[in-house]
Amino acid sequence: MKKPKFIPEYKDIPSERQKMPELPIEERKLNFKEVELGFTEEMALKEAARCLSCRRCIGCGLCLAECDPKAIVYDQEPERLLLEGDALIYTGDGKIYNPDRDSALGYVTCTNVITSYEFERLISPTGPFGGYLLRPSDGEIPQSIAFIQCIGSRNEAIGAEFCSVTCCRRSLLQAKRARQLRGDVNVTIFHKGLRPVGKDGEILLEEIAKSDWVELIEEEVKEVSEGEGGSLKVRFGDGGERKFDLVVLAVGIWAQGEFRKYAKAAGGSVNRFGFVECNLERLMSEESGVAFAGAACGPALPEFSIVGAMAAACLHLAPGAQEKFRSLSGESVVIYGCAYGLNSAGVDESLVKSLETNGFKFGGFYSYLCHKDGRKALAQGLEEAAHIVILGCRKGSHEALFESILNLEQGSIAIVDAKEINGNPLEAVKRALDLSQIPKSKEKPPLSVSIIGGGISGLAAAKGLLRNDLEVHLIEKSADIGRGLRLAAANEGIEQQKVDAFIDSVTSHPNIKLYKNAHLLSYRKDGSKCILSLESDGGEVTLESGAVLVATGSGRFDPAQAGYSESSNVLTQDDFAELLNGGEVKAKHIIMIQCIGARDGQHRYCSRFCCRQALQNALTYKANVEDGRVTIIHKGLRLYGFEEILLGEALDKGIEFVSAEGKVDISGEGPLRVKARSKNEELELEGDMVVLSVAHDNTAIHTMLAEKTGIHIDDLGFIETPEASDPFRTSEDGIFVCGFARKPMVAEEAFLDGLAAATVVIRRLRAG
Amino acid sequence: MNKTDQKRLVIVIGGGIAGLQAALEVASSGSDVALVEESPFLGGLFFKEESLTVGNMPALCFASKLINQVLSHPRIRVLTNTKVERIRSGDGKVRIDVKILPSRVNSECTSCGECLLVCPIKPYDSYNEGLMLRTAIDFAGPRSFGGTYNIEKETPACQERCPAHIDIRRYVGLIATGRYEEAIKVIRERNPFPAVCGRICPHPCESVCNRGRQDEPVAIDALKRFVSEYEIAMRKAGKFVPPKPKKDRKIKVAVVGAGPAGLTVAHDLALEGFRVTVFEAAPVPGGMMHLGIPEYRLPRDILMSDVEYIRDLGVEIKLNTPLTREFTVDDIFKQGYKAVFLGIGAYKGLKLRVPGEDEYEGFLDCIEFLKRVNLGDKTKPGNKVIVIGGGNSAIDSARTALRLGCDEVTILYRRSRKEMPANPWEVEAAEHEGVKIHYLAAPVKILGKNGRVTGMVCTKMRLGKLDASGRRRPIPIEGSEFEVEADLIIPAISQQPDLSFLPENHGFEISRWNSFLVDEATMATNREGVYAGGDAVTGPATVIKAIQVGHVAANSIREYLSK
Ligand SMILES: Cc1cc2nc3c(=O)[nH]c(=O)nc-3n(C[C@H](O)[C@H](O)[C@H](O)COP(=O)(O)OP(=O)(O)OC[C@H]3O[C@@H](n4cnc5c(N)ncnc54)[C@H](O)[C@@H]3O)c2cc1C
Ligand code: SF4
Ligand code: SF4
Repeated sequence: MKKPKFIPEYKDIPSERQKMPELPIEERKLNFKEVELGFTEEMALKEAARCLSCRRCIGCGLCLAECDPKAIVYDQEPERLLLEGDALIYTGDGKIYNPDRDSALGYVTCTNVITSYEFERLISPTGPFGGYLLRPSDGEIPQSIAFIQCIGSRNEAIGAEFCSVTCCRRSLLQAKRARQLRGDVNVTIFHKGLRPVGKDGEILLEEIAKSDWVELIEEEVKEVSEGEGGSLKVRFGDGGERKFDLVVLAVGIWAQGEFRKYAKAAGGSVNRFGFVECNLERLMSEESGVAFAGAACGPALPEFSIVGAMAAACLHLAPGAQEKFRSLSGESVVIYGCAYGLNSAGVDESLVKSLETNGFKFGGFYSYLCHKDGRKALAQGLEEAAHIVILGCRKGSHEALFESILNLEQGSIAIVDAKEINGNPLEAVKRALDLSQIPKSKEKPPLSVSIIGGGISGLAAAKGLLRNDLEVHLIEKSADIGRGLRLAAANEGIEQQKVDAFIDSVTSHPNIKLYKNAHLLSYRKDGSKCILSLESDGGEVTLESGAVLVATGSGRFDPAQAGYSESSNVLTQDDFAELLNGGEVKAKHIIMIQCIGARDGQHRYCSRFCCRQALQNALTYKANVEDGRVTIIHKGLRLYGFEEILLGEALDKGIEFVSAEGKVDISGEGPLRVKARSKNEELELEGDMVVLSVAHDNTAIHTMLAEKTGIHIDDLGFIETPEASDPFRTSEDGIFVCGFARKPMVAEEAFLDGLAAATVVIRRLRAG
Repeated sequence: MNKTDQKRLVIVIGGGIAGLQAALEVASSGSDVALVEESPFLGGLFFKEESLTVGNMPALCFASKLINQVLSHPRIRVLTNTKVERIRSGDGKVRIDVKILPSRVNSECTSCGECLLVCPIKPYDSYNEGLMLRTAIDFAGPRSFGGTYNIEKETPACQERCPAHIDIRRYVGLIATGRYEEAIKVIRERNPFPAVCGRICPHPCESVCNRGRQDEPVAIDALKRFVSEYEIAMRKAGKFVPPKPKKDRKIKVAVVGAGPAGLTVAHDLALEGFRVTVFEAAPVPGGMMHLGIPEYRLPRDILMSDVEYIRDLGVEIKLNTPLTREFTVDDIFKQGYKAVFLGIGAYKGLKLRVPGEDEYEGFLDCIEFLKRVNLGDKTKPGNKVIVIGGGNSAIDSARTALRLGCDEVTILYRRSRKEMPANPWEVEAAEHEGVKIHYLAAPVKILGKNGRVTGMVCTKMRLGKLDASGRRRPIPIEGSEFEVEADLIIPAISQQPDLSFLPENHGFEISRWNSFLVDEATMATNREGVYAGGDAVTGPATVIKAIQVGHVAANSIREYLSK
């Protein structure tokens, strides 16, 4: 139990803690006599009586007395079991950093200093205040809230030189929600450079940063202390001081001790923070029986946990076809009512019963249809049913649920929300039946997939599909399959051989066909078949497959559009990487400029890969040219997770960082001069090579795909995935998308994205 | 799970959203799935969160959707309250041994929720991060699908926190009613060093004691000390019946190092009927309890009474018998021992890495210094003493120096008080006794004359501005150098295990901190039959932690030798 401070209790218990008698100070010189002298019996008795004997269940029997089915068994014993599996997927959670070890943060002593997870519960409708924003000490409404970032993250002193990824985004969203709950609350965020992870992260940050109720302060918090009436004093920076009603510590996520054990079982290892190594190299190597997902590989957003889980599943799907679903073959439409749902919406049950007169069969009312008794009843009614309609349940989510419980074909169950009934149940039922048609027995789609793009996610997807016995058409616009993967691998310092071996294992598979130098001519859907025609090395071909997977990856923004002309000493990070790979770089002062074409009016997202690539290149350069100098001009670095390590190395190697905004000018002959404008000063730097971190931009290809196939493009220029919880499905049935084509990501993520998309496509095709 | 035919089974560990999603994907491909979750409830960390989303669905709702699907999936068997004790893999299979703790509510439960209304016992609601109370019978999950009920019966906060898991509530209750003899037995169930721990344990239990939220925590540790003294008095009066070891199994086990880790292993195995020999390098038993912790905190007769207790169980302690390159682990096996436990502590002081170190006499690592004093050399080592560091051993060195008659004792620490790792009550006592503490200062160079230390150049430090990584490093303030006089300098930075006794081809996995790498669940090293624990694995820690891993190791050794 973490916070004994929240709930005042046991007010009436008397007696103070006994003081330990001690040796007087004068008697402590020139001898080693014991200082603490111990309790007398009388003291011990008094002290022991202070124990509250607080316990968990005391077996009083009250609950059993109330329990009708007598479901409570007090003396149940633990049970031991041996599970024998064909594979194991490990997805253990990380642990929330406990901020009590830094007493200056006041977490232990001040009731109104809480962690971000506590804040999450505090404002939750299922939390202590039923969804109101109140503070814990006295239930008052806080007017001012401070968030303190990076507690337990990005902190060398406590051995946590990694970024916990989710905390900045969480704080920004929490600030927003607090403001929604209380229109007059003011928020201050103390941070060390905010990193608002996620596709829309930069937009979120921008929106919050310019709100007049928010203040962002880039300073370190020195101390939080309690003032009068539970308010809090925050001291920060050099002499800054502010008062708040509530302080939220944005705590990080640490590794669980057991990660190590599972890493070992998989023949892998953990990194220095105890998280399982899930880097690109490991992903490419032959998998062992254990796969990892979730926080085991490092702190991540929930969306990414899902993708990781799907990717891990891809390695362990059952072979062969998916189970058969039962189709309803009875005569009548059977109606059920959820008494709970109907009652809570105030619908009269007799109204529902009246449907019987309209020729429907009535299955019965159950207080929770989704619960055991209800499920049993549904199962019994299947024989007679041609279609089942449930009134008063949750539409949109529960159809699939019931169908999967009862192993029924999609569309067998229709749901009418209690609100829709509106006095006319017949109308509502008819409408529901219209909407949910049991699909006519369709022809099965072929078990093959056309993948557009032979980059990281495309290859990973191909690998995933092939190992599950699907056929793959891999379509690549260049002559070189796997160039993206090779580049990324080189940046990570992975041996070329390993990359080639992986690419080879995909491209030489008997079930794959490759189309190089290909471009798409047309697309159409014919029943369950996707038909692509394209022109490639082998001339014009028409491909039939069950699904199309767009994996067109990342493109590069053309720096000329931002006014940079490339030359022998003004180049992009990609070119610089190749130059470094190829051998010698003579330049003595490299100036890197981040975010060219990113996080600006036109491209509102962060491209994710460029900060990492810049640091990797800078470090490689420093390893080659010891006396070389590197200056990185950035608008706030975006380094997530273990990329923080690179930053530490960069600082140790003396790489310089300049935080500057606005455009950067390059002018002059001879040495290059770079002008940068930071918040309060104009800077001029002189160097002999400028390296541009150009952003991702693949709009041209996305537009082409949209025109040819009808898929949609979202506000940010990526391929749209309208169903939020199904991140790979596009707006066109049969077309899926993965990797950079759907959002910015780094190499490992793209790899997992490909595998995960494969899982989804396989599920879809096998289900038919 | 329909176990009609021999089907594929995939084990998914972890019931958070990743585990739930993975289970669903695998199950819908036609495999059976066992979903194993240690806590009583599914959902994991993201089940607490609404701000972060999956698409536009709050993580909590998304998790709840997945839980619904998983609970109703015919091919997923959900095992909550289930701890994985061991994993093995081979011949294409993964095998895990699990222990399923009772939920005490069986499948007849209809989710009516009546029990929640009547239960009088209200622990903190950990789902709500302790912001509110729940009942001892707990419920979580989407109600529509029955969720899960669970009665937690086991552990109060103090016991949960105690590394050795002592049943504190019970023994404190026994003391309150004057049943001291029973109280000491409760402690001895988990702790073979009650007298020692009653004095020097940093008592993490007290920091979570529920009484602390009312006024101050129960003085748990002082109460332990009280009953341990009661026991000692009884033993002196011959009124104490020591426990009887089980029947002699005639199997020899070797323990290396007579610190708390090693002696706990010896204690447990002796009770189990093994013949245990402890090989100890020093002329005294007890490890750091004897060589490190000063007498004014732990009188030696007290320490020895706990050690004698273990000897009385038949454990042989061979003093002055170090393991060396000439007398190795292999030699121990050759002498007929069937298992070895390495509890050799952490004795190598880390270097300061400033010029002048190692050059002059009067420069003494804190472990060396304390060892010397604790082995009987009570001569005054100098007049002006400087201790460098901010941990407990720095404080102990300073207070010891004061007791030896040194005139001026100063501690130098490079960060500020708030970062100091030493226990606050120890720092207070040191200052009270006259130790001076210099914060934000670091050594630059050791000065000396005629082969003896004469002083030190130091620099003042400040914490730097936030750099690009958002860190503030202690930065020397330029030109702030100052000189201090000293005739004894004691660095007390940190320690690592001293592994110089291992021969070249020892074959152990060693971490980058020079400690033994072990499987935390069993404390087994990578070498068959060899176990390790205590400071030798964790680096400098505490006695109670050493005791805890001692129990774990003893248990694994017992299992290993029972095969
Ligand atoms: C100054 C100081 C003060 C401390 N104060 C406290 C405190 O107040 N409370 C607390 O809980 N903890 C305290 N500790 C920590 C605590 O003493 C240790 O964590 C604990 O003793 C570790 O137990 P161990 O059995 O792992 O190792 P140790 O106690 O160090 O025992 C290891 C034994 O192995 C022997 N050995 C080493 N090498 C060999 C070899 N090659 N062959 C044979 N034998 C060998 C050593 O001589 C020693 O006897 C303190 C430590 C120090 C240094
Ligand atoms: S028996 Fe039931 S009512 Fe009584 S304490 Fe235990 S859980 Fe609560
Ligand atoms: S009051 Fe403190 S010592 Fe007593 S049982 Fe509760 S936590 Fe343990």
